Amino acid sequence: MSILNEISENLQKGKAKIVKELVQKALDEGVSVESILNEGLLYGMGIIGEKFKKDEVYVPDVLIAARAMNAGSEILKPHLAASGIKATGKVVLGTVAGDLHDIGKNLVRMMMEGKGLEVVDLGVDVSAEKFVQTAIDESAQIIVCSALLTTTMNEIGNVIAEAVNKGVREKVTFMIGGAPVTEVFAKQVGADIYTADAASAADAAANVCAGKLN
Amino acid sequence: MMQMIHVIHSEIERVLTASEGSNLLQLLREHGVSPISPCGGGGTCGKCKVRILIGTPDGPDEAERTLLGERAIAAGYRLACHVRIRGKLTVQVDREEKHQIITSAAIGHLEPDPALRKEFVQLLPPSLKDQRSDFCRLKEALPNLGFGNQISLLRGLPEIIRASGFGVTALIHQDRLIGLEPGDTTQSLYGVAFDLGTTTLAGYLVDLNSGIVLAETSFLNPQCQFGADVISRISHADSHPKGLDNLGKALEEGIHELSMRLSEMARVPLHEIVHVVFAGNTTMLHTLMGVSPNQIGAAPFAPTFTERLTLPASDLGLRFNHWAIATLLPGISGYVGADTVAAALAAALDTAKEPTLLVDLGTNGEIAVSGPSGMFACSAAAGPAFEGAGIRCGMGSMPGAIDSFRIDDGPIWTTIENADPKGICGSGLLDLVAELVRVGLIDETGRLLDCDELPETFAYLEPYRKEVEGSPAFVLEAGVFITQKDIRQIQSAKGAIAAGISLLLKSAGLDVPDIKSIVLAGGFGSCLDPASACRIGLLPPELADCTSAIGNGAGAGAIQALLSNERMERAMAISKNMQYVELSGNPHFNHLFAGAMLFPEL
Repeated sequence: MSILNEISENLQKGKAKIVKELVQKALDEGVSVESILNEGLLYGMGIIGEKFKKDEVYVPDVLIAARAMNAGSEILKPHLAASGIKATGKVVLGTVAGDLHDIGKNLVRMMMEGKGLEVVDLGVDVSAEKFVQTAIDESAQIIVCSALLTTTMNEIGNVIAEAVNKGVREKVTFMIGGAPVTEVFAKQVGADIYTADAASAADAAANVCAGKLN
Repeated sequence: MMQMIHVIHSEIERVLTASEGSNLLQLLREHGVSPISPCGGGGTCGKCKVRILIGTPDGPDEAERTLLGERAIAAGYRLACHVRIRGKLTVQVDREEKHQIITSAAIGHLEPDPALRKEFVQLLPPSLKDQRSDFCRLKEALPNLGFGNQISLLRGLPEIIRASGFGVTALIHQDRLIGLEPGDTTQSLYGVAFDLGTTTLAGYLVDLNSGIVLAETSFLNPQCQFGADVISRISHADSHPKGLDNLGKALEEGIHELSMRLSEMARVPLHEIVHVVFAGNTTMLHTLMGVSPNQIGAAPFAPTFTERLTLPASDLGLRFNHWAIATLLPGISGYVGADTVAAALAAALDTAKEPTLLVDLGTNGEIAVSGPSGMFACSAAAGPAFEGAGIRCGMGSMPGAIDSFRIDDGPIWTTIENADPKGICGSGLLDLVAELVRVGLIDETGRLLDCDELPETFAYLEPYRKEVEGSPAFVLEAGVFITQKDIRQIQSAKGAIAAGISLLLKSAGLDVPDIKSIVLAGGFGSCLDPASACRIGLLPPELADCTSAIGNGAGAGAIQALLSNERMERAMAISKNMQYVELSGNPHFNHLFAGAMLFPEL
């Protein structure tokens, strides 16, 4: 098995230590940083994402695969800057004000990073102002709002309104999700994209960024 | 434009009028004929099925098709929340089967010492030589007592004492005179304990003289039409101008109906009931009081009150004795309420000599523990999976629900009332997942394996292992199956409770082996098989042998507080001393939660 395949396989199994060793080994053998990232780490995470969509793997599997991916990425970090590889896009992510749920949001972050996106994770209980200001400061293409309670869902509307207020609604794509959120709600509140799970969210975000940066 | 909508519900046909374009679920709710609606009309749960017999409303759209399935749509079913009224309609709402409810509350033997008591006093009538006032005579006969509402007492006083030759019965609550009745009515001293659960209202009529529970009954909380869980109820209050009113009225109707039934069963007229004690979660008690619960629905989740409240029962619209008082037991936080305090009292957590864990699995999941460093409690939202919601063939505990399951040379199951299987309820789901884990058809990560991944010895399970609607599934009978996605839901639900237990024990400075007893309370807690719960890791597997169920713990605690001052004081102490542990924002929770989603290896 090629070393890139080995990286992907071990990442899927959540073997963080082995992934670290293999990434270092690949670098030492002269494999390009880009290949290691795309064909090793992101490829493995992509397979996890597809399986997650089909419930073939579940939250714990995604978490440990992500942990392995981060372990591998750490090794690549110093080399990434030199290689000129850029993130495929930038996303501002958070759970809305009044809501403290974060596991789903964290999964979205991991899946999006698995697509090579740079994610600015603002955490939980994030005010509308913070979402929008951060997107402006970071020149992000996408704002992702997560809401896990029917009582906090409506906050999403406030974030979108804030983007309108700050005159950046046209520049930013709004993606939303969370258990009580639906396609219908997304339309009502004026969000651009609704996705039902973290892996689909990552796919959609990658597409948006590919479109915008071309 | 107004339309005539014919609704057939419980075999009665009604004709309602509605405006063109209005929402069908809302219409049905307004007239008290709505189907269940766990998600509160949000369009996500797929359970508010109705059958369109005549009429052609728009749709169904893709979302509805996915939730209902083509077969149901072909048979004329629609989701009421998705239907906009267009033209005439004749709609059939399936009769709500009676839920099998576990009401019984074990209280053991308790010496009555009720907070509200009666005392007969014979006053000396006035004479020319003794013209002291009525009030003076009364005060002399009842020294050391404070006085309640002076206006009502005084207004009633002259007639009451003269109606029975100056013999009167004083109603006394915590050393205050709060009412008077002519003659000696001390033989009649009745109270009702209520447990206002999110899904079920339970009531117990108690003879406060003898300490005997004369009647008990329960039924579905009428608030259910506004959503299955507290969050959707709070959402309703928050988003509809009459929302809080609706919730309050629904509760009042439910309480009144319960009271009438209890009164009939016990042959005790409503006007002889003098004390009503309420246990319930914080949101329920807020809606009972007509106080907005909105703040409980968003961080930092602070409620408006958790204190014990005492007020005239009539202030809550209750129709008992003229002088009846209502006591709302104290709670602890937005999500650990008076019901948990009452259950802790019933489980004697405060006097336990050895570390004891209380798990109340109802619609919400409250966990409490007592140990050397004190009492702690948390709330772990397991979601409604154990009540069947969010599960493809899930259902409440009603006739036809598969409620137990075993694999013994083949799958064997039982259904409630031995009716034909229609779906699977919480205890059945627990057993099913536990058995599939035991035989290895579900691996420790929760994946439903293909039969060829199993050893030969389990070949007899092959006929049950199918693909349904594109997903791996285990099929019990046509139309009754569990899917891979359902298993994931159960993993999340049990993971939340297990992680809550883990964190709570940590907060209390305890480890699993320190726990000497697990007490299960709540409807689901009473039906589940502890062995199954331990096998899937819902409860710590090491403690399989020391679990016991107490039925409706909150109800039992409310009865105790009603019957005994000492128990009431203990409830107060529990609410004061039990420390609330907030799980959200706890840095260890997510990690524990993810780990707890896995199935323990045996």
